[in-house]
Amino acid sequence: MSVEALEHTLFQQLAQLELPVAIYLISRDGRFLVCNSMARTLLELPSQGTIESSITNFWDPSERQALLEQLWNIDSSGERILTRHIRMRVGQRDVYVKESVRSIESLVENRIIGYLGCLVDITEEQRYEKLFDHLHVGIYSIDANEILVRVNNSLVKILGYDSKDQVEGRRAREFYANPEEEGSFRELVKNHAVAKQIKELVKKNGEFLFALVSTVAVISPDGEYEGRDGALIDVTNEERYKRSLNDVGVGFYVIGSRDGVDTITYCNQQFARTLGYDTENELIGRDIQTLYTAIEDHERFMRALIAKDAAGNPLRGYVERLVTHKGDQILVEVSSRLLKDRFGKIVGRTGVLSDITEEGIFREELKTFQKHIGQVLHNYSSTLLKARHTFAWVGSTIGPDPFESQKIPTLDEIEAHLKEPVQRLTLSLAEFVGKLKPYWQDRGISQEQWDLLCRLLANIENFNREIEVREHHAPFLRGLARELIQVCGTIQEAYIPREPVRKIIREASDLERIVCLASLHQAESIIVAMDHEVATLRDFLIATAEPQDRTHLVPLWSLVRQAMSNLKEFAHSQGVEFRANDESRNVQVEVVERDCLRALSSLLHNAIKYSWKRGNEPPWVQIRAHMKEGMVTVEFENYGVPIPKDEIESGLIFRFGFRGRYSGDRGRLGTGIGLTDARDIAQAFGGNVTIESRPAWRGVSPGDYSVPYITTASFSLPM
Amino acid sequence: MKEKFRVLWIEDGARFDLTHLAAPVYMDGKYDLVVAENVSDAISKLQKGEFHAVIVDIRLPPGELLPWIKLHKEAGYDKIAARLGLKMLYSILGSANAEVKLENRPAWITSDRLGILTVESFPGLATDLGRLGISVFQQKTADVPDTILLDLIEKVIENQKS
Repeated sequence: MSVEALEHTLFQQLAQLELPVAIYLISRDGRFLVCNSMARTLLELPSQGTIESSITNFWDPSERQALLEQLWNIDSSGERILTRHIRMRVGQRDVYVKESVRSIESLVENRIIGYLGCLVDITEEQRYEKLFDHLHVGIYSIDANEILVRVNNSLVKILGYDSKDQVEGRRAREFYANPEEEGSFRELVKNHAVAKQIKELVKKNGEFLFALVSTVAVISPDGEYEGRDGALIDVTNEERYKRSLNDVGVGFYVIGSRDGVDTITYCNQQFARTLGYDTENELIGRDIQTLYTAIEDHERFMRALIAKDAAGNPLRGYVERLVTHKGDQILVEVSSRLLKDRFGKIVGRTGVLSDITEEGIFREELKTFQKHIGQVLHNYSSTLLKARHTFAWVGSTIGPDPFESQKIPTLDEIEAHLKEPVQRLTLSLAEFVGKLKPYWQDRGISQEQWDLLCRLLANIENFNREIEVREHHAPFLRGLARELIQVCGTIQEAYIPREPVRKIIREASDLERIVCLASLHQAESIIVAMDHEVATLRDFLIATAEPQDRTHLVPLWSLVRQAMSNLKEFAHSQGVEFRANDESRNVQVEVVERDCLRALSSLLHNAIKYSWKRGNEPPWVQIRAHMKEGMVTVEFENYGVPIPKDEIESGLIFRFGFRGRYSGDRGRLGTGIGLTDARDIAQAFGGNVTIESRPAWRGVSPGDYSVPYITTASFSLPM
Repeated sequence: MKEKFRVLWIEDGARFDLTHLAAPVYMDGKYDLVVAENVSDAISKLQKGEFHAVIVDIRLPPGELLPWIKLHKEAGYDKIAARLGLKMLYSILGSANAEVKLENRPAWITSDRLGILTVESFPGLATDLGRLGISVFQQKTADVPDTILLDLIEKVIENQKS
C-alpha cells in the first residue's frame, strides 16, 4: 500500500470514529476530503457520501482570503498547529467555532497537500462573551492576590479607561477612593456573597464615582479563597441624591403598603434622627403605625392624605404627633403624596417631615396672642363707635350743619361754606376797628387788646395770601375766631357800643362752628375708615388663629351684596357711589363664607378708599361679576390713585404689610393686609386675585403717576 | 413791619391729620410756615432758601428724588423702617455717615436750627440725635397740646439765641 493510500485509509477510519469533536480533512484550496459525523452535523453537510463543498464556503467572504493565508502560513510560521476562533455561516445562522488545524504533507511529493482540522462549537460561549463585553454592567474577576485578571468593556468605560489592558493586571485597591476599604471588603467577601454595597471608586481622570457592587468569592474545592467575581453599576447620581437627602434639614421617607401594613422602605438620616434613632437602618422595615401615639392618629392622617389625593393634590403642612425612640412625643409637620400602581391601588407614600415641637409651642402662643390682640381690637371698635356717636351729638348740639350728613366734606366744600362767614366777620371787625380807631384808648380797650384786634383783622384779610397750604386755612380761621371771641369777651362794654362787639362774637362763633363741623365730619370719616381697618385686622387675626370653618356652597353675588351693604356708610362718607352689574347668574362657589366676605370687603374698601372725583362728577366704584372658563370673577374698578407698574409686576402689592407708593396720599389709612389676605383667601379656595392699573387718560407717558388711574382688582373663584 | 421767622415743617401729615398743629403757628404771627411733605420736597426747599427753624419728622416718604426712592426700596418700601427723615438729617448736616451726599448742601443749616417732631420715642433716637448735635425733640402723642409745633419752633429759635 502506498503511503498516500495508507494515509487515506487512516483518515477514512478517523472519520468513522465517533469522536466528540468535528474532524475534517481538506485539500490545500479548502475542498472537503473527509469529515466525521460531528463535522457533518455541525456544518449541516450530507450525513454520508462525498462532500461537494469547500470549507471556505462557510467563511465570511470578506475574511476568506485572510483565513486561507493563515492556513498556508502554518508551517512558515514555525507552528505546527494553528488555533483560531472563527465565525462560520451555516445555513441562516452564525456558528462560532474554535478551530485547530495542522497541515498534511505529501511525503512523495514533499509538499502540502491538505489540512487536518477539528472544530469545537463555541457559539454559546461566544454569546456569553459578547454579553460580558456589551452589558451595561461592569464585570470583573479578581484573583487571590487582589489583581484584576479579567474585566469587561463596560467596567473599563465606567472607570474612564480606553481599553481592558489599562485595567487588567492592576491591583483592585488602586481603584478605591479609600484603599483601606478594599481590604475590609475582601474580608467580608471571603465569607459571604456581598450584594448592594456602595463603594466609592476613582476614575482614570481622578473623579470619584459611586458604584453598587455585587460580588461572590471564588473558593477552591478544598476551601481555599481563590479570588472573587463581581459586577458593579455606576450609581453616582443616585448616591449623590441620596446623600444630599441626608444633608437636608427634613426627614425624607418612603412607605410601602402591603396587606394592610405600612412599612418604612426608605428613610434618610434626618428622619431617623428626628425620631431619636441613630441610623436609618433601625427604622427601615418598621411598621409606621408603631411611631404614632394612637392608631386613630394614623387613620386620621391617611384620611387627610386620601382626601387631598382625590382633589389631585399632595397633603401639605399636616401637623401630627409621633413617638420617638425614647418614647417622647414630638410634633411634626408632614407633607406627603400617595404612591399608586397602574390600577390606582395605593401601594405606599412618600413624604417629608420636620420637627416643629418648639415651633408648635410658639404657634400656640402666637395664636393665643393673636386672639388677645383681636379682643383688644374688638374693644377699640366699641371705643370708635362711642367716639363717632359723640361726634354726632356734638355736631347736632353746636348748631345748624351746612354739610351733608356723614359725608367727608371736600376742601372745596369747606371753603365754599366758610366764604360768607369769613366775609361777614372781616367786614364787622373792620367796621368795628375803623370806628374805634380815633378814640379807643379812652373806651375800655387796652393797648394789648387793640394791637390784637388789629393783628386779627390783618390776619383775616390776608390769610388766603399768606397761608399757602389750603388745608391750613380752616384750622387757622377757627383759631382766629376763638381768639377774637376771647378778646371781645374782655372788652369793657360800658364804654364801647355793645352791638358791634356782640356781632363780632356772633359771627366769629358762626365761623368757628362751621370749621368745627367740617372738622367733626372729617374726624367722623376717619373713624369710619379706621373702624373698617380695625375690624379687618381683628377678623384677620382671629380667623387665622382659629381652626378653619367648613366650606359651603354660597352664591358669590350674595356675598358681594353683603360687602356693599357693610361698606355703604364708608362709601357715603367718601362720597363714592356703587355701580353694580351682575352677570354671574347667581352662580355658587364653595368657600368659607366669613373668609370670602372679608376678601370681597377688603377689595371693595380699597376701591372706595382710593377713588377720586371724575371731573365734576362724584367718584364711583364699578362692581362687575361675570363667568368665564369655569371661573366666576368679581371685578372692583375705581378711578383714582395709581398703582405703579413695578409694584404690580414684582408682586409687592401682595406682600403682607406693604403700602403702595401712592397709597398713603391724602392721609389715607391702611394696614397693608387687605390685599394679601384677599389673595390668600381666593387661593385657598382654588382662585386668585389679580390687579391691573392703567392711566385713565390717553397719551400719558409710562411712569407718569400724576394722573388718575383706573385700577381693577379681579377676584376669581372656581364655579 | 417786623420780618417773620421762616420755618420749614417737614411732615407728611401736615395737610391731613396734623392741620390743627399749624393753626397756632399762624395765629402767633411771628412765623412764616412752609410745609414739605416728603424728603425730596424738603431738600428742594432747603436748597432754595434759608429757614430759621426746620422741624423734621423721622418717618417720611421719599418723594421723587432717586437716591431717596432707592433707600425707601431697600427698606422694603416701608417708611417706618426706612426712617428717611433721620437719613435726611445726616445728609443736610453733611455728616460723614450720610447715606446720600448732597451736591448743593445748604451751608446755613446747622444742628441748632433743627427740631424733631415724631411718633418715635427719644431713647430710640438718642444716639443719632447726639451724633447730629440736635437737642430739640418732641414725641407726637395724643396728649400733646395743639400748640406743640409752635412750642417746638420757639424752642429752636431760643436755642439759637442761647
